[in-house]
Amino acid sequence: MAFDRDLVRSVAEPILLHVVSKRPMYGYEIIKVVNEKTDGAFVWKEGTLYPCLHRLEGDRLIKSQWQKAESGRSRKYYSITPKGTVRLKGKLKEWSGFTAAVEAVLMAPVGV
Amino acid sequence: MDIRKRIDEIADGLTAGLESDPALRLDVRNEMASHLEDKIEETRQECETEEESVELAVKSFGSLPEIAEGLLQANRRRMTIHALIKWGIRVALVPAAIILVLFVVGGGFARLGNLFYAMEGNFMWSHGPDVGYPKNLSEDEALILYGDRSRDTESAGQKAIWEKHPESMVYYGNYISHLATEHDTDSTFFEKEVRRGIGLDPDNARYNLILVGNMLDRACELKRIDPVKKDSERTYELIIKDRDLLDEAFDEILKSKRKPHMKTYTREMLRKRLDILPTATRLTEQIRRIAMAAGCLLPDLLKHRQIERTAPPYADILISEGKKERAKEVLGLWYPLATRISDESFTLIEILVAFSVAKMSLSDQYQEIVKKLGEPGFAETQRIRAERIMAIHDGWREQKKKLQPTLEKELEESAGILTALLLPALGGDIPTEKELAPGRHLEYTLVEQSWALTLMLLMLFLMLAALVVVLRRRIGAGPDVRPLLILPSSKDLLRIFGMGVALPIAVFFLYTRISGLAGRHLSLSVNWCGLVLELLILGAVILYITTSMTADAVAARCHALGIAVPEEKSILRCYVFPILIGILGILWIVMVVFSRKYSRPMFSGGVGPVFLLMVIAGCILSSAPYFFVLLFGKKTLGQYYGTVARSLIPVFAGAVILVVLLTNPYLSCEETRLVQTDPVLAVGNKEYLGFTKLEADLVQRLKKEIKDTVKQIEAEE
Repeated sequence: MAFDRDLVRSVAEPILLHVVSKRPMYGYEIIKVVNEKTDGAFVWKEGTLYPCLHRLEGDRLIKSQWQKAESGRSRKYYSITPKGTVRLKGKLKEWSGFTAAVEAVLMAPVGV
Repeated sequence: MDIRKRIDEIADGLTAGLESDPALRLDVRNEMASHLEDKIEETRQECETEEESVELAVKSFGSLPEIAEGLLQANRRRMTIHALIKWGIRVALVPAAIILVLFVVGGGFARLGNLFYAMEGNFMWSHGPDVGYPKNLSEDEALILYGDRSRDTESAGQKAIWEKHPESMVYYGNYISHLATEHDTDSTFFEKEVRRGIGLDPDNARYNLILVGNMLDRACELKRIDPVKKDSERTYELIIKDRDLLDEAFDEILKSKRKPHMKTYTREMLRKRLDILPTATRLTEQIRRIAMAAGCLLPDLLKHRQIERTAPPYADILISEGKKERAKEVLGLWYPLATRISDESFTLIEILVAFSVAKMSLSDQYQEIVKKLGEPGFAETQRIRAERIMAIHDGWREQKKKLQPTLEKELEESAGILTALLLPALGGDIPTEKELAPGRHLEYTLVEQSWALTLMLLMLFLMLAALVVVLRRRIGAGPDVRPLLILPSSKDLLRIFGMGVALPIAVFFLYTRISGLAGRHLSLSVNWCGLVLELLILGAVILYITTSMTADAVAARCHALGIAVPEEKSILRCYVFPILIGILGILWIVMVVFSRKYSRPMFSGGVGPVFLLMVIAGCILSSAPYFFVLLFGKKTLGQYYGTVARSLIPVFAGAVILVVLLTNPYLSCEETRLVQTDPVLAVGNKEYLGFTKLEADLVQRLKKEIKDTVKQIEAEE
């Protein structure tokens, strides 16, 4: 199912923060993990991912570090910062309240 | 198809918008390239050829222009911040560091220059403003301090002060003191001015005695008969040029005897001038105050000695003419003269002249002449008076002689250089540690200030050296391999400045001020080798740690950005610096043990400067070889070397500012505190007036003893 681009963009930040809060990940890996966890519902493009990652890094919500893999290739890994953890908690709370409010309206019986 | 080339093309295209920030662009570009490589590997399984897998990977990337635009927008804020930081470094930090260094160093050298200028004797009033005397003075204060510098002669300039304050006897006295020292003054004019003083200050015997000196110069000449004897035992022959004038001169002296007091106003004038000057906060200011006190004119002393030497042969002539009563008065003149000189004195030289006047009456010539008077009672009285006054002098000399070896050893081991110069002449008690400590510590503080200035200059020099490296590495380098400016992260900067600058300085402070291990109980002249080594080790450590930590941080970043970095640390960094520090450390231990065991320096004379030069060279070696590698190292590592050099410039600029902030205020305050508490150098204190407190105490003691002795003599007579 294809979702509205604006809707996807609006949840990119909390999803990214949540994903890198588990363990450090590089960009390609993040796309794969999100795709797997959403059963293919979210297929992020690089054009969505990297600008968001860089914005989050600029806001110091995540940090990056280049690491050399066993294959010899260097990859840039992202991990969450303490500031990012606080933002993530806030976003989760916000999302929880938002979805409950939307569901309360959208899922209510017709005529109520 | 060249896959690498294609990946690079795409990555370059995606990051074209970031070209104003080369380091960021390189970072993002490498990230995009890495992602593309992963993508290509994924699509390889679905495609038959490499070209297909590349194109599929690129297609699945999405719209490249949109991604490029997204990357630009996402990184715009960071680029702006980086640009601001670079601008700040270029426009503010580096120029601020340079200006600060030049200001502090310039101020330091200016003070040193003033110090040497003052110590060469250029401290007279006419040179005042050129030697950095305070400039924000009122017109009246400037006049009192300098006189009127527009007048033709020094004395005329001093007269201007009295002309503005005609009610003041102090200013007139000051004027006459200057007039008396100008040898080309017309004699008639001089006499007229001195007689005006007699009229203005009728109770003051001083002007009479000065007039007498002038008259004696014209009336007679003294010829030494026994030049081989010590000064006070010499015999003089009086060659009369004008007998009437000679008689008139002695009439004047006898007239002055009846006046209530003799005041030169030298002390009062010095007090006025010292009160105008602000309290000294720097050694150079204190030495200017000392120089001002030392520059006090005491022309009366020569006149007094002239009278003392002329009186006996003149009395002899009077006796031969049968004028015994007058001769008796003349022979008795030394006593009121000596006591008046003592009463008026505030310097040791004046007291010594008083003693010299008294001693004249114990000379063989005087004794013979007094015998001719035929009044044994009078002769006995003069002898007893003189002996009792001279007993004070002899007691002081005896004490000085007895304590001299101990005093000189104590001063050599524990006193400052100025203290060691001034105190032996005083011959007072052995100074206590409390009295010696401030002067001694002041010298250490001054050396530390000089070290801080030298370190700042060295860092400035290294910034220039780094700039040369950057320019060298830029020449011929393509746009993709030009040196970048990579600022270490805030955490790394904190570590660099903390461990590289603040920590070594803090350790040095604890070692020298708190631990008691630094040998600060020893004079600088004994401990200078150890101190120089300690400071140079400190400087070498600061330079090395700052340079190497910055280089490590930059190397890590360069490696992450894909810039070629050396595989191993250079031999210089691994071995040369540790060996250098090891050698300096061993030398320091040897110096310290030697100087503390034997209480004298290990090196002196010409070996000292050579040793110093070697150690300074050693300090420079802590950083210079590294710059040699940066400048002449492999071309393949050129971008890395250039980046390290370029990144060192702001770090050194920051380090310079930090060194100034950590050292200048503290050392300036310490200098002020020591200058104001040093009893040797403190001059013009409210409680006393003199060159030094120690001299003032001695003079007061001798004056009191003379006064008490005179009281006793008069009570017994």
